[in-house]
Parts: sequence; structure tokens; C-alpha cells
Amino acid sequence: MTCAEATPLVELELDGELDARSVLELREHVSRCPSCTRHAASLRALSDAAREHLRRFEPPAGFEDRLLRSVRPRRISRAWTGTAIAAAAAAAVVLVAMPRRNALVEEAVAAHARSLQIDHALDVEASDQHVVKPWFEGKVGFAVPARDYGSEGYALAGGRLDYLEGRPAAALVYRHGKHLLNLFVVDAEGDRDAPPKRDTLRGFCCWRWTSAGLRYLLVGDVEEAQMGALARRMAGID
Amino acid sequence: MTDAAKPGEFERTMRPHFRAAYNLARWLVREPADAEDVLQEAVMRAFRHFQTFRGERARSWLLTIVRNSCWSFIARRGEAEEVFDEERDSPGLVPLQLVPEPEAQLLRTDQAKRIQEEVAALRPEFREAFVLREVEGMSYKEIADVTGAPIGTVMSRLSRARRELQARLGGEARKAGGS
Repeated sequence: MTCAEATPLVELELDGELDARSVLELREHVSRCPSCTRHAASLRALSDAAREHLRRFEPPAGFEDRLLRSVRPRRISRAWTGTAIAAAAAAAVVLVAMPRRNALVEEAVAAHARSLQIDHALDVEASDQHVVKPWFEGKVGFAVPARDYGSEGYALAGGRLDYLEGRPAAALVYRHGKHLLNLFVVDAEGDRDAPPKRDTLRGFCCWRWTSAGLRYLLVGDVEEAQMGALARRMAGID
Repeated sequence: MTDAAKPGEFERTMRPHFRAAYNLARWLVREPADAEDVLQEAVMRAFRHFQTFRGERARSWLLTIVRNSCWSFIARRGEAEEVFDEERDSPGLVPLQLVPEPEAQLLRTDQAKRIQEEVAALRPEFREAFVLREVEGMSYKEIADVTGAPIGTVMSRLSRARRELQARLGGEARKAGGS
């Protein structure tokens, strides 16, 4: 084993992620190599220090009960007045039944903004739908229609696994000049088809529609009408 | 299964993991009041989706929702506020703020505080991976599940986090390692 091979394995061993045979090979190398010995010792020291000193933030007293209050309105403390209970119950109902659409748009826009940060945009980089589509297999619970719209100026750049509302979402990334657009695809949970509708949030435009059991959200900062045309193309309307 | 809320079942399964959720939220969004708001939102969301919980690892399931709420919050705040640790998050390493004390002494007396600060100063995605690994003791697979990143990405984030921490915390001996 060479140092170049050993270096990444040192960390895997430290984290208990290395198989037994490789552990033996690695230790054999490290025992003969002062540089790798130092590297391993240094990593070990950091990890020990982190485990010893790194803080586990403890919630304030009663916090867990406060958290649960919103999901068990009947057990609200008696100190509350009847009105407050009614209001809280109504709020809970509203929160549960609320326009999950808006929450979804909110999250899609946040996820889009996140993807614009460095190294967040793409897990798989390819303009070929035959590469992008299978990449999602087993990651989201549906087949992802990854199409390229390069001829219309929206080239498929690749895809990324994202999360919306705590569930896996396929994010397809398109380039349009210097703009990046995210097409989020999630399970529509049995909702019927719906044509593209537009929302604007924090400077981003979001077109959403439902088609064939999947919900789509196209997010970007390209001009609204242009994005709308693309959304209708994607939805198979135009 | 009825989707009608099952608060009892929800509480029994998820409550044991609220402390881990709180810890993660504090590490990610930092401000106690913000962390509480984010958690409140996350727990509502978890409750709403509880029927999709299939009895797999409850901690990972809950933490996935919590971290996504945290990231949404960070993204929102990132736009509302001027900087979210823009300086500290830049790729270059911030030079060590040396106090007039021999470094060995400094390391011993101040190690707890220093490591706390330096981990807090990591870019959020590195910080997240490092905290889930070293504080929660999660495996790569669990971290990948929670963060929605491929395992290779988890490994490289952890590795980057460690290299930055070594460079910031350690003296000469630690720097020697990575290269």
C-alpha cells in the first residue's frame, strides 16, 4: 500500500467504515510510515477532542412538551383559556391542512437558492437523459422524466437529489445562458393533473403543475413569460 | 392505516429524538430562538407526514426533516440578512487568532472553547456532516440519508471539515498530515 492509497483510508478506519481486511493492510502500512502515522494520530486527536469537548446543545426545560403541544391540542395546559385553546386548535388545523402548495413553493424556492451556492447544484452532471434518468432510480420513488430542451435554449445540465417537505425530490438542472433553473419533481400523491400556475417569491419565479401523478415546480430567475412557455412545453400543453 | 393524526404514536416514536433534533438545529441555525421556531415547524411537518414513516430508523427520519427545515431557514435568512458567515465560509482559511500564550498551553486550557468556535465557523454543509458524525455518532450511510447527499459527498465533506479544523486548531504537527 502506498501513502496515496493509505491517506483516505485512515479517515475511513477512524470512522469505523473500513472493512477488516483493509484495516489490516492499512495498519501494516501505517506502522512502517512515519508520515501516515502522524496523519492518523492527528486525525485521531481531532476526533477525540471533538467527542470530548464538542457541545451537545440541550433543549430548555419543557421544550419537548412545547414541541408536542402543536400536535396534541387536547392536552394543552389548563391555564390556557377556552378561546386560546380554540385558536390553537384552529391554528393547528390550518397548519396541517394549509395550502401545502405554498409551503412546497417556499421550499422549492429555498432549495433553488441553495443550489446556486457552490457545489450544491449537481450530483450527476450530464446532458443525456439516458444518464440522468437512471441515476435517480432507487433514490426517488418514481421514474424521473429527464428531458433536454437544448433546442429551445434550456440545456439539461444534470440532476441532484433534493428534499421537499421531508421527502425525496428529483431536481433537474437546466442552463439558460448564465441562468440556472431547477425543475423539482415530486410524487403528486394522487392529485389530479393541473396546468402550470405561477408564483413569485423572493425574486424567483416558480411555475408549478401536476401531470401524470407527478408534481413539477420550475424555479428560476428567467423572465416569467419565457419560463411559462417552457413550463407549458414541459407539461406537454404547447 | 388511518391518516388521522396519531399523536400518541408520534410522540412515542419521535420524542426520544427531540434532543438530537434540538442539538442539530442549534448547530445549524445557532440562535436558540430560531432553532426553536425551526423545530416547531419541523415537528409539525413530521407529524403531517407521519403516515409515510415506515418504522425505519426514527432518528434519521426525524433529523432529515429537521435539517431540511434548518436549510430552508438558512437560505431564507441568507437572503434577508446581509451575510451568513460570508467571511468565515470563504474557501481560504482564516488565520488563527493568536492570544499571547504559548500554543501548547492554549490548546490545553482553551481547547473546548476553540474547537466549539472553529466547528461553528465551518461552512454549514461541512459543519453538519462533522456534527452528525462526531456528536451524534452517525455512520456515513445515516449521514447520507439525513442530508440527502451521496455517501461520497458525505465523505468529502467530512474530510474537508477535518482538514480545515486541523489547519485552524492545530500547530505544525497537525498540518503535516494531510499532504
